[in-house]
Amino acid sequence: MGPVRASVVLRSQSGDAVLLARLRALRGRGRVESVFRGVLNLLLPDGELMALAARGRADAPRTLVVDVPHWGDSGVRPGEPVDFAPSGVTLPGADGGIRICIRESEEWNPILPSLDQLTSAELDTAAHALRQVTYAHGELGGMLGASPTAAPMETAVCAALDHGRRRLVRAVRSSCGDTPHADGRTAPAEPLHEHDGGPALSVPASHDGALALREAVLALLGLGPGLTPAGDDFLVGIAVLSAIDGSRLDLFAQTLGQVLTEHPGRTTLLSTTTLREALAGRVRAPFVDVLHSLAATRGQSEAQAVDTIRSPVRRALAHGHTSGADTLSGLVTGLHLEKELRGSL
Amino acid sequence: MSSTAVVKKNTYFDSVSLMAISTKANGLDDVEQAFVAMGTEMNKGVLGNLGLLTPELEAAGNGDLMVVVEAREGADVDAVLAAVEELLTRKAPAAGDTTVTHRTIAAAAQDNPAANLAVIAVNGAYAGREARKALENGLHVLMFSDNVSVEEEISLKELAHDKGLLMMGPDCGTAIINNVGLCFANAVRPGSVGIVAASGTGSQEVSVRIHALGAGVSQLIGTGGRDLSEEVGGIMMIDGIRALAADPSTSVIVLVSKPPAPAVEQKVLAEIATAGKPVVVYFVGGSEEAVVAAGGHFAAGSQDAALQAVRLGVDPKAEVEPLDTTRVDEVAALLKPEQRYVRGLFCGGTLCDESMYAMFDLGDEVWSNIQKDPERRLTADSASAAHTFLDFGDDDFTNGRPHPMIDPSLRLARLVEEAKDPEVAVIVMDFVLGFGAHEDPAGVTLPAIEQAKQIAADAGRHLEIVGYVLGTDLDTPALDEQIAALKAAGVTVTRSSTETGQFARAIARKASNA
Repeated sequence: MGPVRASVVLRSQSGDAVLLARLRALRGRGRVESVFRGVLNLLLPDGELMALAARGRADAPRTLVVDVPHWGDSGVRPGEPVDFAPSGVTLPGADGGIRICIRESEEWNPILPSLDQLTSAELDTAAHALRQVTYAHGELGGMLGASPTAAPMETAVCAALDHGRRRLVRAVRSSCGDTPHADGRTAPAEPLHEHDGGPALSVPASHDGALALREAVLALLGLGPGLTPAGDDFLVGIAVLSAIDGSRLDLFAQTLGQVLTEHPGRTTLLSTTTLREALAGRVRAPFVDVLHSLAATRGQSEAQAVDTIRSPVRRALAHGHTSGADTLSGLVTGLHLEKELRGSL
Repeated sequence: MSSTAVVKKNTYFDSVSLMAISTKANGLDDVEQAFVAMGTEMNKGVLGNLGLLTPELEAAGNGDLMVVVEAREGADVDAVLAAVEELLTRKAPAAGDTTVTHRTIAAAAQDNPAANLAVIAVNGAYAGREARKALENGLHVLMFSDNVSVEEEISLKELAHDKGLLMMGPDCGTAIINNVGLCFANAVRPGSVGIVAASGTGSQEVSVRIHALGAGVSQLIGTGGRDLSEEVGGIMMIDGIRALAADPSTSVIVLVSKPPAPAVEQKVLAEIATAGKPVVVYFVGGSEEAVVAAGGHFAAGSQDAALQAVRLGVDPKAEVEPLDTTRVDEVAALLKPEQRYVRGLFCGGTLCDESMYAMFDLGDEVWSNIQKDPERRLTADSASAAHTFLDFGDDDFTNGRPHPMIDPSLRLARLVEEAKDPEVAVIVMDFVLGFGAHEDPAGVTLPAIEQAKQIAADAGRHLEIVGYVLGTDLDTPALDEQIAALKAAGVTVTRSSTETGQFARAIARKASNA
């Protein structure tokens, strides 16, 4: 098959710096993986995923933001070939092909804040504030629970998600309690927030915490409605916290990484890629903004913290249908766990 | 009950479409419940626990979309599946065997010598090129696409002007040409009132008010929202006035727009003096003095614009009933002292504008995403403040989403949220019927209305929800059924956009004086 020819040239406005560095040295053929109005997902020649987002979309890992209002009429179809060259990406379209020029693309680097300066009490305040704003503005149907008019299937999936969250919280406690960290820390015994774990469910065997953690991760992976299942989005929230310097969630991160490697077909390629990036501390820009706003709540009351985080949280909630709320729900649980694990010092 | 499933192999929908499909599937008459999710192991596990895992679902891969449907007892399962499949494939209504797809505009024009208009609704990056081809093939153009540069717009409008053609748009959402509604339009009777409009829902509202007064529309020419800017200079509005002035079927002309740039307003008003027909000017929030000085008829609102046009060109005795203040008094008596504010949640920009302008009479505390005053301008992320009017069709809300006339989800969520605010007295909403709009705008909003009223009731408050249904008795869905459904849900239904603003203002005035 000959090279894909282009008659329309579009400019990448900004892009993930890591991806741009890779594209600038890449030559080969991939293909279109999926087509949405706002995003085109492409497979690189090695089968990994990248995205072309339309103008106005947030920067994100493995993503170029392209100066195009949307892809709705582009004529690009899944499965079609895509040519990668150091000058840009060329894909077939309705009018003879589209070239995405990356030369002047601004580089985006997600830089996570440190949460070390927050005391345990401040972490707790930040988590409560985040939970409050997420529930006030977030979409039901995933990790926030079923909507009041939900059909039994949605109710069952939401119950499974809730069960999965509780199981994971208990497993993190159990595994950290049994498996001392390098510095000899162990997990505390006090309970988490009422919504993030409860006494009613069966607790994984405490003598085998690491295995319980692995099973808990597997119980959430690929579970729930949406293109990125809600359970995956929830795990993304905890994963990105685990990547922050000084996080005590290292055992969780290690387990999630292993599970993704050992069970590549457990969830969608998009979810797997998003989870791997989150483990490396790379999430969509609105979630990075949320983390920075959480760091800025130092010394604030819960009411003040709510005001501080409200705008970035609402922007993050606009992601997907329930994806934003599901990821933020993961952040809430992660913050509670982080606080609890700190308490063991 | 019987469960069944559709598995779409490696098929993707964006998350909003996926939700819309799920919601619509759950709303089908013979569907007990429907669930849409990716075919992952865990999702199949849940279905297995519910006894819903069919061999077909079992075989779904993690990149496949599963649509699980449980049909009601005695339902025709094949018919249910066909209905779901239609939602998934977004089938257009059957057009018979005569539908022909043309790959180019030139080929379409050649095959249809009688065709004289092209509707362009492609990505803005390509729209200009297609419009130019259409104009060069002698076709008038309605360009629904936006994101076209102002330079390209000027160039296209100048080309159309030179060729004696109409260049409606870019970003033109409404027109009625020779009694055919294009894009978002209502079914109005043919008549002798001609409209030139830079505002979509504003022109829809004027057209349905004309219809309600017993008159009809000769032509409704859209110009696109940027036509009256300094740069474009009103090329299309001026050409539109001239076209209607020359049209023997038009007895009176109505202009509808947000206030133009001053220099452009002068040019447009100069044009009406030579039209040879009465011209009614409704520039939302515009000044009366300039219009009257130019020999035009100033309209203070959309209802006034329609009434004056009908009186001038059709029926001098046409009348509109005044606002019934009984309901205002009733509502005011139910409010608590802290309930002082109005929150407007609109699909239509001009409808939002008109209600917002009504509220300016009460002071400055009016906030909106379309406020001219930058200090009182809100974004899609902002919380409401005092009197707030949101146009959900504005770019800030539609970025990456369909227009709220098609996808109401953001507006519904906001309705429930506003109900939690103890200072809110009234929530105002519009429901736009007609070609291109949602198939049941009132029905899709009823659960959220019920929830909002319940939230207020639980807090011991009365929440007044005011709805205006923009449509005619010829529209689908039926206007009277939409009104009846809203009234049954406890909504006070107003009779025009103008009355909606008057009603909300009257309650807010009473509440602030209480």
